[in-house]
Amino acid sequence: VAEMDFELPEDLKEIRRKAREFALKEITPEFAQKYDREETFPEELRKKAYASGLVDYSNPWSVLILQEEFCRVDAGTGICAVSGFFGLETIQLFGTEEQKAKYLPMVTSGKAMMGLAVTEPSAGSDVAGIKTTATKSGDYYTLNGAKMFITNGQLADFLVTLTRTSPQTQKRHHGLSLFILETGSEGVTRNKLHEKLGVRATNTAEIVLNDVKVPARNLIGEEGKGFYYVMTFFDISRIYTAIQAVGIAQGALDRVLDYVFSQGVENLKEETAMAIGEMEMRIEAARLLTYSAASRLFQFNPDPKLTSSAKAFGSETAVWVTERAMEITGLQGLTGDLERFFRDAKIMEIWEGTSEVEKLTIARTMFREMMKEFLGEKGGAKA
Amino acid sequence: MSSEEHQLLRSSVREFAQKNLEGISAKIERDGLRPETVAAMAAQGFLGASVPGELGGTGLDERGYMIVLEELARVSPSAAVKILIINSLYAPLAMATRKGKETLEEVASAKVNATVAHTCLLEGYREEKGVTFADSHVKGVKEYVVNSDAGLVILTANGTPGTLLLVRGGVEPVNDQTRLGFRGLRFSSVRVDSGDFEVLGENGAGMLEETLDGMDLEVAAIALGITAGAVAKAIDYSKGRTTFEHPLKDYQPVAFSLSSLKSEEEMLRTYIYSEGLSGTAKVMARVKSTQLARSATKQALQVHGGYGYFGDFGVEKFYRDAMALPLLFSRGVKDMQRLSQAVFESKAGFM
Repeated sequence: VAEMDFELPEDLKEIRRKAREFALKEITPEFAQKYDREETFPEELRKKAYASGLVDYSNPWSVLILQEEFCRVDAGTGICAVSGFFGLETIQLFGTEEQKAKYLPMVTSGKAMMGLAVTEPSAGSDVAGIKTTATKSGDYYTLNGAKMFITNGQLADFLVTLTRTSPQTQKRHHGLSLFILETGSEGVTRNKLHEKLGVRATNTAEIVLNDVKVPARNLIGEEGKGFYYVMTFFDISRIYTAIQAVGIAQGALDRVLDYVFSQGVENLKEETAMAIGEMEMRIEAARLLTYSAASRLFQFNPDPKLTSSAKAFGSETAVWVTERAMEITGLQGLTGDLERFFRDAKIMEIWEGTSEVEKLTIARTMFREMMKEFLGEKGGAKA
Repeated sequence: MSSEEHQLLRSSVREFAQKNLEGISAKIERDGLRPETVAAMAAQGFLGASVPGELGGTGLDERGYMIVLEELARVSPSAAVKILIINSLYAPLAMATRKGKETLEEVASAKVNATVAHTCLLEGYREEKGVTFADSHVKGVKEYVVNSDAGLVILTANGTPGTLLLVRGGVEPVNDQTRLGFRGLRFSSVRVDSGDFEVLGENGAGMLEETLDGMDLEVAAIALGITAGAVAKAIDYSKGRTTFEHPLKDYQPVAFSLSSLKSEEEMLRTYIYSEGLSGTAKVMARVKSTQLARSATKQALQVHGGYGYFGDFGVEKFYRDAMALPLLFSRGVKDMQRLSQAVFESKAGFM
């Protein structure tokens, strides 16, 4: 009989131990506070993380555990240390051999950084509503438009960029294509966006594209299939977001426990004890949901229902736990790490699909499955 | 004041806030409240809103004062909190002595900034050395002081409950803290080294406690202002912003959640401004208003999506301030115990 085993294998436990050790050593509260206050990217931390050998893209579980442990110490700088690859899977899954050979090694080695440019000033959740165009002439495409809230935007050496290659029809998600856009190209302007509520060490930029020429060989996969590729990618990145949120929530609980012990645990009232119990309960549920979604994904069998559940539940857990943590710790939380955790947590409910979008995705996936089942029972054609 | 006068006051404060604060509200978050802004609030009589006229204040009644707080908080909660500290903390305590009373005119006219080191009553307070005084000198450090760049500071000295002192001069803000909320105001420790001080009373902590518990409605008014400011922004945004080819407001989750928050806002407004509220009713107002501010600002930010996460749109500051308000000016567990005692008509929730 096959057993369901909810234990991490020994090698991952070891990775978790090392990741935590690295994060505690390198990301001190003062370090995290400095980058939060100054809104600057901790490049030296990123280099150290790569040099330590902890960032290993050949092992997706280790990337997951790494993000969890880094965010547990500090989400802002922690995300910076490991997000230089953001968008990589689009090339890995749909790129040509030439693209893979040219672009992947420099990112996985940490020499270069990349990003994904999908969101626009007037199109966030509504991916198909993007307006950036790519027009083909000969062996290149000309890109025009603007991208918004692009993570790593100002630092990335290249951005996987979603564009519209044929006019919008009734099927709005048709006619979109993904390109590898080298940010040094003529006509690319990048403006760093300031004054984020949280994750302030991360680099966020607006990208303006003005007659930017991109070689046709930089088209990822087939023209017109960009929407599908991006949605596939979101099934991956949402799991990363979910685990970042779990890390934030766990880090907040760690600090609440420190506080409670410093005050003398014998003085603990039921109101606070129950809040701590509920934090633990929600965090463990979010973690298991995320691992379960990740397990499906890493076996190339993602379940969008599970992925979106992990993302929405994880991020709501992070927000809920950090709120309670602030209430319990009062002035200590307000003047220590926790206020930053509280600010960082909120982005988790927004980026990579808002909680609203995730919940709709869960429901729609269920309806599709029901419809398939219904048609199957009726002996109808497979949907 | 008659209700017409209250109406008139409300529209004039709103106009002031629109003209003088709205345009610079992001700048206030970045660089703090500038002296010229504080002077403008003083010129309008807001700075000494509830200080009696004969002591140099504006002498507004309770409702009038709440209107000032609410309307300023709609645009800049930092501005409202500055006025709260002066009128609800500093002034009532300073009025204990003649010398204290005499300071109110210059405080109301913004000639000198004033504050109270009240946070020793709050969860998580930790004191390193504290402040001590003997004969003619007061010396030491007070932690976690809001609006700390003040020439006049009321604080407790010589332990707990300590003696309440009004210290003038020789006060310096040191060791600035990170600020989740009210970034328009300095938040730091203060170092005191002064020969100019006045004893306001013994049982300092008790006096602070009474004062803090006595400002239920004022805290409720600021919380309501934060709610109103955030909900108004979200409603505006959801009318203009389109997603999946429809305005946000056409979607039920957006329309229903904001409409529901707006209803709670309106009901609380009616409640907190109604006449003859009992002590119990006032605690209830504080507790419900601060809770509403937190849920309303969270939803308002969420409706703004990515834009809500950036300072430019002016909604994230409400989210931060809504969390900071109860942490700095309410006493979470103690307030709930006050409320429970009133509800159960005996001590409850104390074990």
